[in-house]
Amino acid sequence: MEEPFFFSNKNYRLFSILHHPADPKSLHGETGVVFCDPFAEEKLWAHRVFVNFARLLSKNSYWVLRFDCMGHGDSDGNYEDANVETQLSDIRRAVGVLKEKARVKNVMLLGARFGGTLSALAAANVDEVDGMVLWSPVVNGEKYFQDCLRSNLTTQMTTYRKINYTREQMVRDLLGGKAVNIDGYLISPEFYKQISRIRLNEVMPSCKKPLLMIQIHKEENARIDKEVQELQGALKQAGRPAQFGTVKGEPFWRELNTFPQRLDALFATTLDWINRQNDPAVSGSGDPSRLTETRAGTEKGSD
Amino acid sequence: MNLEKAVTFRNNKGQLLFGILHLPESPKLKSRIGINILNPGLKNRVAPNRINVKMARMFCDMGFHVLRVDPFGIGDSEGELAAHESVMDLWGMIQRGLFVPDTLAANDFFVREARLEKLILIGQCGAAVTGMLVGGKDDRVESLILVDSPVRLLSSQVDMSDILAEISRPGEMMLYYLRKVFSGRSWLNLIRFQSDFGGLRKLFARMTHPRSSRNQGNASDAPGVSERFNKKFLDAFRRFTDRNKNVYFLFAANDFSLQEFRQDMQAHFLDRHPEYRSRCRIDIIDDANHVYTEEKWQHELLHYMKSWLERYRQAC
Repeated sequence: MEEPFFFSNKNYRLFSILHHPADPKSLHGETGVVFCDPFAEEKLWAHRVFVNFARLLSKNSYWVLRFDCMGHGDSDGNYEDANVETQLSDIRRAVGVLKEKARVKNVMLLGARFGGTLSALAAANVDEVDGMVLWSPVVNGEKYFQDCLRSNLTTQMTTYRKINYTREQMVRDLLGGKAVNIDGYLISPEFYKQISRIRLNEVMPSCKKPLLMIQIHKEENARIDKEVQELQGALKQAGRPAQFGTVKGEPFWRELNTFPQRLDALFATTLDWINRQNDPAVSGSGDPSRLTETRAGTEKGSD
Repeated sequence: MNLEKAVTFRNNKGQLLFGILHLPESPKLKSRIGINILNPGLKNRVAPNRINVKMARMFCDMGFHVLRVDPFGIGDSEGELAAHESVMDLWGMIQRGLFVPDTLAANDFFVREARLEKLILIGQCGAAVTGMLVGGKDDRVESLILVDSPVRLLSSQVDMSDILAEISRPGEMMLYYLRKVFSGRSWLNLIRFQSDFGGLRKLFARMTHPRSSRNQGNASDAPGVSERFNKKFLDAFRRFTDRNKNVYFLFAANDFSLQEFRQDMQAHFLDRHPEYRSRCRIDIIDDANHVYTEEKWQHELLHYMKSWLERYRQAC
C-alpha cells in the first residue's frame, strides 16, 4: 500500500508518500527509511529510481517515507525560499512523521547526491536517526555548487552564443544578496552560503551511526573518487562504522539517452546492507565483498 | 485559501495513478471548468523547474480547478514502461499515444471528483502531443494550450546524433556537446577514441551549411512534409477544430519543435487552410529554450497562458 498525504512543518505543508510494508509483523517492519532527494532538477531525473527502490524495500517489509522538501516537488513554497537549514528541518520533521505514523523503532535515512549529503548532516544531528545510506553523495559543497553554476554557462552559450554572466559574477551576486538561476531553479544567497560551507570530511567523523556509501559509476570496478577516499580515511581514523563501495550504473540523476528506472546492483547491495543492520545473520543477494569496511581501523573487501 | 489535495485513482489496467488536485477557494467562474495539466513525458507531474506547479497555483488563483497526474510508469504512479535502449523510443511511443488512455482516465476522474462541465488541457512537449490526441477523442475538452509541441515522430531507427542533426538548430546541438565538454568522462572517451565523432561531424556540417540556406521558404514553396510528420497529430487537430474548438500553440524560440511546426504543420497545412488557421493562435517566446530555464522565460510563458485563460474565462 502506498499512501500519499501532506504533513506540516512550521507554516507550510510537505507532500509525501508512505510505503507500507508487505508484512508489517515482520522484523523488518520495525524499521523505516526516509528518502532524501537530490538538489534542484537532479531530483526529477532520480525520481523513478527512488520510487522503485522504495517499492523494493516495502516488498521486503520495511516502511518507507518519501517526501518533497519545501519549495520542491509538490510541496508548498518556492525553491528560492529553501536552503540547507530548511531542508534539514524538513528531514527532521519527516523522521518524526514516520515514527508517529508507522510506530517504527529504527529510522534510517537514504539520500542520493545532495540528498545524501543532507542525510549525513541530519544523521549527525538527529537522535532519532539510526543509520544512513548515501548514494554518490556530494562531499564538498563548494565544488558541487561550482559545477552547478557551469550549467548556467551552458544555457547562456546555447542561447546567446556567448557568456554574458560569468561564474565569478554569479558568485559576486550571490554574496551581494541576489539569487542565481541553476537549471531553472532560483538559488538564494543563503542556500549558496550554507551549501558552500559543507565538507562531509569534517562533519562525518563525529557521527557514530552506521553508514553505507555507494558510488555509482558507469564502468565496472571503477575506483572510488578521491574525495570519497579521503572521507573514508577520515572515518577510518575515527574508527567509525562505515562501509564504502562502488556499483556499476548510469548516473540516474542526470539527463541520459536512456530512462533508468532501477539499478539492480545498487538496489541489491543497499537492501543487503539494510537487512544486515536489522539482522546481522542474514545473507542477501547483494555482494558485500564489494564493500570496504572502515570500522576500528580494519579493512575487508576489495575495491 | 486554495486547497491542494493528494489524489489517486485507477486507470483501465487497474494501475494506481497518483496526482495533485488543486481546488480554488472560490471558483470565480460561471461554469465549472477544470484544467488538466498533463505530464511532460518522462519527468513527473511537477515538470522541469516545477513549471507545472507554478502554472497550477496561478490557474487555481484565477478560479480554475486544476489536476496534475502521473501516467503509468512515470513519477509516483504504478506500472512500468517497457525497457528501451534509447529514450527516443519512449518519446516516439508517447507521440503515438502511449499516455492517451491514462489521460482519458484522468479526465473522467477530474470531471467526477470536481463536478466539472468542461476541460482545458495543457501540455508541453510530449504532453502537448498527448493533449492533442486526447482533444480529438474527448468531447469534454473545450480548449487546448500546447507548448513546444513536436509534430515529427522520434523514430527508434535513428541514433541521437541523427535526430539532433535533423531536428535541432546548431545551438541545441551545441548544448548537447557542451554538456559533454564539462564532463570528465567524455574527455576519457575522447582519449580512448570512443567519442561520438559522427555527431560532431554533423554539427560542423550544420554550422557550415545552415538549414536556412538549404530550405528556407514561404508557404507557396514550402518544403515537403517530413516523412516523420506525425499524421495522428494532424488527424486529431482536424477532429478537434472541426468541433469549433480552439488551440493555443506556444513555442520557445530556441526549441527544435518550432521549426518542425513551421515546416510541417504551418506551411503545409495551416497556411493552406484558413478555416483551420483561424482556430489557432500561435505565440513565440523570444530566446527561450525547451525547458524555460530563465525566470523571464517562465514568467512570459505563464503570462501568455494567463492572458489566454482570462479571455476564455470572460467568454464563458
